[in-house]
Amino acid sequence: MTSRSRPTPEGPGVPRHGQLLRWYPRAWRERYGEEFLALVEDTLAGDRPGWRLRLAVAWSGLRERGHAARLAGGLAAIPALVRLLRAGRRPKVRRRLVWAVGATVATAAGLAWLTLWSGTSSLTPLSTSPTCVTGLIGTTVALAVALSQWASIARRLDLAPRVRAVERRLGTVVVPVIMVLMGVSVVWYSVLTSSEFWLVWGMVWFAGQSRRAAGELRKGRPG
Amino acid sequence: VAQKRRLGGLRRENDPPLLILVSLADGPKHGHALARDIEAFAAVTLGPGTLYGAITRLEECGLIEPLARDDRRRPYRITAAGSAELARALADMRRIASAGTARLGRLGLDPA
Repeated sequence: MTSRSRPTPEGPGVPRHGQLLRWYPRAWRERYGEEFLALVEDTLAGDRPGWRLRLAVAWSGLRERGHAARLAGGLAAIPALVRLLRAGRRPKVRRRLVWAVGATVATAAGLAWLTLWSGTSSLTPLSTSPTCVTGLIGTTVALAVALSQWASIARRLDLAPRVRAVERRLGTVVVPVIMVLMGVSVVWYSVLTSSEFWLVWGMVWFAGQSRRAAGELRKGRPG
Repeated sequence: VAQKRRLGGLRRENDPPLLILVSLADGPKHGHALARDIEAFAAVTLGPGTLYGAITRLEECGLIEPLARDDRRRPYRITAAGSAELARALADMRRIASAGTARLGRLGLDPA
């Protein structure tokens, strides 16, 4: 196996199984890398690492990357938002903040209502019920608005470049995908109810949003 | 609450964080010594990835702490918060085991 360009700890005795560390985030490698490799060597007792060990380590490393990204994204954004508000830059984000909070509350209320309401009906009439579809569409729109407004606020925060890049990619992908899925739901509903109106509406929405999503993804693709 | 969320709670007897805390309750150990001890008392084999994933979470939560490195191996020891968390988890398990034993007893079965 060849070594990738990602740096792994080096030093006397360390790089023997160093390629296993490439799955882990840099900060983790710097903190735990050497002792982790010592454990791997003790475990292998001179043998070569088998595919099961490699797979398990890769999975653990990717989980660690996921954990680091969640910490970096979630925890970095909140203090940055507080700093922005304290620094008197409130007017810049006030309107977006109101929309984001309002849409988040509406999404939560919509989900709660759908959950409670679906518990009172059987599944067959539920799938063709206009109330259910209206609730679903309303909640989806609220979710899309909430995500786009939070992403817009995140763009104005002083965040580390890596955190900013992750949030930008998420913001670019999630909202268009939700809008496309909404079109699919409307088409599905039109088939269930044999409604030409909803079929046309759904197809137009699906085509328009797919085109928009493709454009957004092309624009947001990291260079 | 945040600590429990990050650890996923110490719920099952084969949870790696729980096994590590039990092992460290007997004294500081480095990674390989931990893995061997856990294998001996719980018959559970923890791979390096799983073991260090759990060590990372436990250290983040302040339930264990690193000691000075011995060559390339770093020993860890349980903290006061770790001991308290372990005691709570074991008390929960004891309560469940007692309830289960009592109910099986009423059916005339002996779990031993």
